[in-house]
Amino acid sequence: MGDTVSLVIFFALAAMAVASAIMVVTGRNLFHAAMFLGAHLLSIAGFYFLLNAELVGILQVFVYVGGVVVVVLFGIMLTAQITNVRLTSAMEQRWVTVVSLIGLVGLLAFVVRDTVFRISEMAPVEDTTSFIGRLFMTDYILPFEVISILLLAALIGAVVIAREEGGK
Amino acid sequence: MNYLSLIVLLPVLSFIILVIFGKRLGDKASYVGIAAIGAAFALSIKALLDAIGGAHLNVSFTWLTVGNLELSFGLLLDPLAAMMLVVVTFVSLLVQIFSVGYMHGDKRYGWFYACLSMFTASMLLLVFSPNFVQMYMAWEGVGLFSYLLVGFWFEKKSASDAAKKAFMVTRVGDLGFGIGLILLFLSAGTLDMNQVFAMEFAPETASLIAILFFFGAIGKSAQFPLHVWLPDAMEGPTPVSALIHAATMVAAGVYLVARAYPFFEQGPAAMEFVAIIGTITAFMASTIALTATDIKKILAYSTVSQLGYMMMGLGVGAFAAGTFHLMNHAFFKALLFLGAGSVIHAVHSQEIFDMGGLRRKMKVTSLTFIIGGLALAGIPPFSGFWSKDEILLGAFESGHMAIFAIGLLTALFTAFYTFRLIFVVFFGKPRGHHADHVHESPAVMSIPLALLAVLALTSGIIGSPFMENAYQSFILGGHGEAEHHVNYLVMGLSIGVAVLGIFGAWLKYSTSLLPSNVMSKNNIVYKVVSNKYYIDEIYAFTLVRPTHAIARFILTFDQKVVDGAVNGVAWVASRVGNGLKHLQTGYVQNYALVMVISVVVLIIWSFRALQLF
Amino acid sequence: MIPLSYYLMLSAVLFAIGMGGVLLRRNAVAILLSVEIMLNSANLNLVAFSRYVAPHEASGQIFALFVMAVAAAEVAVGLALILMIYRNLQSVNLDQFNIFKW
Repeated sequence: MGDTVSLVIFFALAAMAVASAIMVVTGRNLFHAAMFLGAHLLSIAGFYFLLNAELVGILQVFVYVGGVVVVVLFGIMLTAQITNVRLTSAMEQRWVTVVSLIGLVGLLAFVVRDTVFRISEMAPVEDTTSFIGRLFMTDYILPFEVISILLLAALIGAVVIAREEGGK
Repeated sequence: MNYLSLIVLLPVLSFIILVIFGKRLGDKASYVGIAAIGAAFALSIKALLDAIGGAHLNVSFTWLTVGNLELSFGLLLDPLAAMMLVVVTFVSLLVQIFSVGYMHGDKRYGWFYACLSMFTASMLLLVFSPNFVQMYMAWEGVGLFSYLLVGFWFEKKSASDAAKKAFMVTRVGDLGFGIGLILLFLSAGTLDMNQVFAMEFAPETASLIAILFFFGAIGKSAQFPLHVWLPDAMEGPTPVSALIHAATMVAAGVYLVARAYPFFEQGPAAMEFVAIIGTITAFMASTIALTATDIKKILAYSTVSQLGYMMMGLGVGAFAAGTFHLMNHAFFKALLFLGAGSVIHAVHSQEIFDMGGLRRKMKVTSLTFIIGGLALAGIPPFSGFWSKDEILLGAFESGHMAIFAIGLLTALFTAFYTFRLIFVVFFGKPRGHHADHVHESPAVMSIPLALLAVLALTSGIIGSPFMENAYQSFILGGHGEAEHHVNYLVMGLSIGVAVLGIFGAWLKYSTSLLPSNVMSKNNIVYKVVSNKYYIDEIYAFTLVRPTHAIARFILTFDQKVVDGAVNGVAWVASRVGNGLKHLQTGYVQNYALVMVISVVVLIIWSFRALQLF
Repeated sequence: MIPLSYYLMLSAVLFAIGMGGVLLRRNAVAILLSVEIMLNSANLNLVAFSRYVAPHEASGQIFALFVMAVAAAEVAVGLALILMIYRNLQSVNLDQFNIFKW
């Protein structure tokens, strides 16, 4: 695959990512916003594949699109405010926000432009799944265990917070 | 010689006990005070015997060293101090016994005895002082307790005003004393009496120091022009007047002059000044006493006048005579005041024209009062004669003829007003509302009167030619020659003048031989004298009003500027807070926005610091 | 190869868009969605760096996996909280959560 093809795929994915992000942020219908989030997450997964990070990409699809979006949809349905969700907060901080965000992006652009990155010529990892899997069991075993405890805590916490008063 | 310190410490202990347990002790509080002062008196007698035997003591221990100045506490025992110890403790003891009856039932009985005890302790500390710093401190101490005791019935405005006046007027004098101390220290480098009296000073320096010290005495001993507080101080209970304003505290000024006598001797100008002030005071006060109608005020002006006599004596060089009169006066004036207290207790009034014919029902009081009056008037063989005669002799022989003449005239007035008082109160027909229920005071009040009367009769003898002027020799203790001769001219004149005064009073007040209005009450002289020469009014106009104006100004300044500034700070803080509170909107998104902006600003700032821009 | 800076700029833009959503939306669930966008932009950044700077190691990808796990946990707890709030206040509009207002 030539560079040109990669570039085309990049921009296509980029357009999709930005467009769906904007739709999430500005969507009047909450359900639609959740759907657009799903689309956004898929495009990000596409980027991962473009970057030779296959495992991350697959997990992005499973965990985010399959898990998170579904949970969010449940949340939306339970809080029963689907249509006519007003866009902005009642406080009029629109313009300040926009200006400061533009400033932030400008700043980051400046950084990116002026920094000389040491791009490595080495070849990317071939089989990320087994590579990362092995690393999880050797070098990164501690964070791995800790993250499982974190997930357990979050699970219990969510159940405790959201249960009915006096119920089980 | 540790027993000397007990003389001071026992009354202090009594004070502490009474302050802590006074309310609980109730009537028994007097036992504590009397026990302490009785023991102190016994020890003072021992000290006197020791001093007569020639003992002379000066011990100090250093208390504080500040730069070049060494402050020490100590005890000095010499003839003068021994005499004062006995006088102070004895009169204090009798006053405390008298107060058992007089102050019975008062709701602050315990505090009264506490103040009396601590006052006595301060006075004794003053007498014992071997250096001028301790004397100054004890001086202030007696001033404080005088204030507390004059204002004992502070619920009465006139009493609290009188207490303030006493304290403030004596403070003016104390200022002079303080400046004198500073001057002395600058000239001598020390304030210890032993060391200072061994030095020689130039006449100007000595005079100046002496006069400054004398200012303190003018205040404390109520000399002109700072005499104005003493008559007002009669607002205090009568036992207080007897102890403090007749016998002890007012004698402190005389004691100071006596102690600082070497300065006066080295600075003759100061001595003249003392003599002149003393004479003016003696004369002026005796004239006012002629017109006063309140029994305590008459005695108060009499005290001022007699203190003037003492100063007159010291000023003309008659050291022994002046201090002799101090001792005699303490006894007979205390007697007169306590007698007045007895009368007031019976008649419930202080105006002499509300009283009359009291000798029939109050035999002990009348008899002792008359004895005191004879002593005051200067009739031999009563005590007052011997000392007053010595003072006049001193004036005569040192060539101060004008002073001598005025002194004689004052003696005439003294006898007159004293017996005016006696004839109006104790003789004649009973006047006033309480004439029927008048009765003699209880024994606890009469016995001190009797004891003091004995002293009024006899205390003069020891300085008389009959005992070869033993007092004078004792008190001078080798510092000078005691006079051993008798001047019959002076003696005759002083006796004659006293008899004349008594006779005049008898004529006017006991018989009807003189028209009742010898001097019309509208006469200008009468008006000036009976209004105390308008001195209080002059002070009020020239000193008190400007002070009040300044005080009001400072009050306004304090309220508007100082308080304004403080309140202003609070006001600013409040306004700022009011403004800043709008930042707390309660909306998390506002806070998040602030965080974003802060991060952006910080990054820009650090980029500039790192000079990336 | 696509220059690294393209990925970085893209991630910056996505981050800004996500933040705009967080700061401007009224509905709590919508804010949660915006937070997800921000997290994903960070992940993109990590993986891009990993690919270009140290491709033989996969540390950036591992980091991204952890971020993903944490994000999932956060969504779960966040929604539980929103449910509780909804039960008590019958609304999930942020302008009604202003008890700490002065």
